[in-house]
Amino acid sequence: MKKQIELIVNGIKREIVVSPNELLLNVLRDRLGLIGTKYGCGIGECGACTVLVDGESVLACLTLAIGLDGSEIVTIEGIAQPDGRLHPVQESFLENGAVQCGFCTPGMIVMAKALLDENPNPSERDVRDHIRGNICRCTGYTQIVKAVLDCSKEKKSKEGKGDCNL
Amino acid sequence: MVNTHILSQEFEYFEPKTIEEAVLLLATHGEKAKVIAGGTDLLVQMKMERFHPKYLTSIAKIPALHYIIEENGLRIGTLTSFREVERSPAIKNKYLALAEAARSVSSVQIKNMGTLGGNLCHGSPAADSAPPMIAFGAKVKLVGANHERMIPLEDFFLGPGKTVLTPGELLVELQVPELSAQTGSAFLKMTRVSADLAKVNVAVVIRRENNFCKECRIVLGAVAKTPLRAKKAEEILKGEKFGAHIVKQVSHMASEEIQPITDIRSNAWYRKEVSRIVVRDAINLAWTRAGG
Repeated sequence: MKKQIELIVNGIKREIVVSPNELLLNVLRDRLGLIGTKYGCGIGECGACTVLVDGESVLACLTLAIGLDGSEIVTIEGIAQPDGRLHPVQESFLENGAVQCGFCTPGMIVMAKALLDENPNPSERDVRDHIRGNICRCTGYTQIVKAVLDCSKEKKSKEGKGDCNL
Repeated sequence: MVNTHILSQEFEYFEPKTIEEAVLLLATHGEKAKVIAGGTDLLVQMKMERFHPKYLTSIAKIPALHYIIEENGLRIGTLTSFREVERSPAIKNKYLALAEAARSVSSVQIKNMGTLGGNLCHGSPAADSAPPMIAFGAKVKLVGANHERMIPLEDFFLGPGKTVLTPGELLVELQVPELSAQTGSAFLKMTRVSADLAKVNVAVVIRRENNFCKECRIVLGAVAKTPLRAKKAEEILKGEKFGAHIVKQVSHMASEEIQPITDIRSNAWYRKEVSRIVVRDAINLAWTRAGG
């Protein structure tokens, strides 16, 4: 039986009617047009579909939308400022050349934001551990890890730049 | 042809708010029903067409299943996520092997979603939470529409994907007993990359008195049809003076006791070989942590 649910997606309230078997991934991509979140493996191994639900990183490909009534969701489209200014993590990915084909990037950036929100000064080990469920087949991870580390509070304050956690 | 992009199966979905409601729904729907918590195992199995439940009962919105309480040991609600286990100061301080097992699970996303109860009820021989929980002597509380029972977790698993849970029963709580002084624990796991399931995992809990091992439990996963206690190995160490020689004997015996198979993650020979080393390292680590 279909059910009406209410989601707050990137700050905007959305009311949608979903079937029990509809996955959050497809609701975001096909119903709401938010195609930044990617379908990679569909079985929880690649991290390309990572979004934040009530602040926690989860896999949209293994989440039933019907169970999320009242939840707040942040996708890659909601990471930048509403006026279009990029989040410092996004800036850092660009500066460090941390994007090649770009397919893993939305998941990587969502994970990086979640990590920095929780731990503003992660070590390299913390970063690698945090993104261990996000597979990248192009970069070899080096530039991605560097991009996240460049966003740490310590590093930013040394360079006289602003806080990463907007 | 399996399609993992969508979930093609159709089913009815229920979201009870209390345990009573949940077990009533489960009793009504019997074998056609499945419980869903984090969904990280179940939805994969459904996408792979291994399960075809007609009714899904989500327990994710039942607050009474979500807690970690220190009370004569620990009581952990079935909905507790791996992330909550790994962060819990109570678990980190006293039940380190469990915190280590939770930390080792797959990825951060899976740890946010996956629950302790789900990990056990899925019945995987490789479940990371099983070896430490069995080694600590945990019991599980199972609730049905008209009954309630407590069983040792050691007796919970029957085979791959099989547990003693009957249709209509819900695992609601894990109870871990208080540990004696001078008890140490450790969890180690062999994987190809850090986000993989185990080729072998092992938990050891040791109680020492000076240089003697008073009690010890050694539990291995992914090397038999169920998580397995290496009881003969435990017997060798129990009551004996601790040292490199006896640890070698114990780890050899543990490697003899397991019955591993060859599958996509490893082969039987390698699992036997590497178990010796992992058991040895886990014993030494648990011993050191048990203090002087």
